[in-house]
Amino acid sequence: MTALLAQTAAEIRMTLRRGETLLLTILIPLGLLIFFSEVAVISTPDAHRVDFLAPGIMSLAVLSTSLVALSISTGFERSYGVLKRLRTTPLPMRTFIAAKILSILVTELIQIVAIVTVAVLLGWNPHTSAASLALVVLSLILASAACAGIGLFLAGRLAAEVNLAAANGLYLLLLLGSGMVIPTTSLPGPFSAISHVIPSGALSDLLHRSTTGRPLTVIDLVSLALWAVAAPLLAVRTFRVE
Amino acid sequence: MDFGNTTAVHDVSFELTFGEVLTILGPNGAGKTTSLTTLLGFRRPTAGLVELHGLNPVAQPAQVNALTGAMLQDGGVWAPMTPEQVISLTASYYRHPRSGADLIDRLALGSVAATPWRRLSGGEKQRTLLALALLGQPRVLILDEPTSGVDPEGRDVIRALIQEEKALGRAIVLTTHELDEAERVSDQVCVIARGRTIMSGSLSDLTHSTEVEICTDRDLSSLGDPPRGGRCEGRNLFGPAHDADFLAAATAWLAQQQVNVQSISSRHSLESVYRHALEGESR
Repeated sequence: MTALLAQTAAEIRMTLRRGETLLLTILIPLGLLIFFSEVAVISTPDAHRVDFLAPGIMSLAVLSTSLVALSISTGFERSYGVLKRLRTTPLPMRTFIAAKILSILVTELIQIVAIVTVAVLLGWNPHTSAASLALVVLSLILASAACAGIGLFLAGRLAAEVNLAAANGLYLLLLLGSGMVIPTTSLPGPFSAISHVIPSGALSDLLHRSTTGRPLTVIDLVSLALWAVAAPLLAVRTFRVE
Repeated sequence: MDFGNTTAVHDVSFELTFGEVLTILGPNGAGKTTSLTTLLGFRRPTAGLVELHGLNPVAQPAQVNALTGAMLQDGGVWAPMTPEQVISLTASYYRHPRSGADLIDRLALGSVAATPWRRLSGGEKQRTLLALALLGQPRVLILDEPTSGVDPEGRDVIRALIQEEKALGRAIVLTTHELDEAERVSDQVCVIARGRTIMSGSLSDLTHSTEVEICTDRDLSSLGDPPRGGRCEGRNLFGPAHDADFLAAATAWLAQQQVNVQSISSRHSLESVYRHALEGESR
């Protein structure tokens, strides 16, 4: 327990001190939320743009922290031999991963609080009920696990520089193709269908539906649950510390 | 140990007792680091048995790591962390860690204890990694080129610490390219080349010689016949070891020829033994 707490505290400290992570996880999501809410660049299915954007930006927060920031930092830890050295200590890999997950959840909590606060100031009025809140929390946790699995899979297989490019490329692709800031109804037919079977698209749809009181689609939840199990398993099976 | 179709290490075998230092020597690419990382359980051997503390390092890494301290060539630390912070964090992984302050002091890291890892020199990084390897009070210490990139003062600190740890009863396995360092700290030596052991044994056995070697300041080939039992090779005169009569005759003969003696040795240097072994291997 001492090792887990110490490692988690160290991970959180390093995350919060990393300027590029703060840009990726806080400033870009908040900037996109404010800009697209206030400037009529996109047409959204909801009456108020912020009603569409707030849940989308919450999805983006998960994507940026659990996938991109985690993948890049872990890729460089691998490249700099940090993971190789840790492999020679009694710290179990599961404790190390647990510390990373806890630090991700803390970062996401900070992100969600900041996004909700700014969104409410911009006029967001989400549908709230115990069921919708539970669904939001469940979706965020499943998506975090799925994105972390994908991020760790990339970090554990690719060279740090290649991983950096891949994670950023994926970020841009998923940002545009998951219904976070651009409604999937605006995308060409196949892209709209695909968005439900990728974790960020499924998360966006689930958050949109639960915060606007619309009924859920089972495919989103099933897809997200499958990713949440399969991606971490794939990462664990394929991860290399060298 | 195979990597695809390439056999990196084959037929490397050694045993070590507590309180001894085993040095693995060999040219670049000989398989030294692969041997150490296999010993630490980084990869499953294609054939053969690897045990540390009687445990399987691949199947029981946590138990093996709790008893072993390792300093790997390309092991690293988070760039923003200082030696003080990473030592404190790493101490939390162990049940009974050694005092971090004591290690910082012993490894002369006090002046850089609060400096981020990315700003440390090569030698300071090596000393920090050694401190991390020693934190868990390991029974076995594995050091892959511990003095590589370290300045002479830093080397002295590290070598003195290795001797101290040996005196505390730790079994130490190290690799180095510094043959004089190996000669100073080793009890056992294992020379490997192309993934195979080509020579191993105790340092005293390997460097033992049946001849005495007298090094001089002149070429001896033009001086005529040396005393009975002796032979000249360049500036060196060889003869039977532990033979006081030969030694007396040889030194008298050299003095008569007005040749100055520079050194007298009845054992081979590790360097000459090592080079001879590698030459034999390449033939």
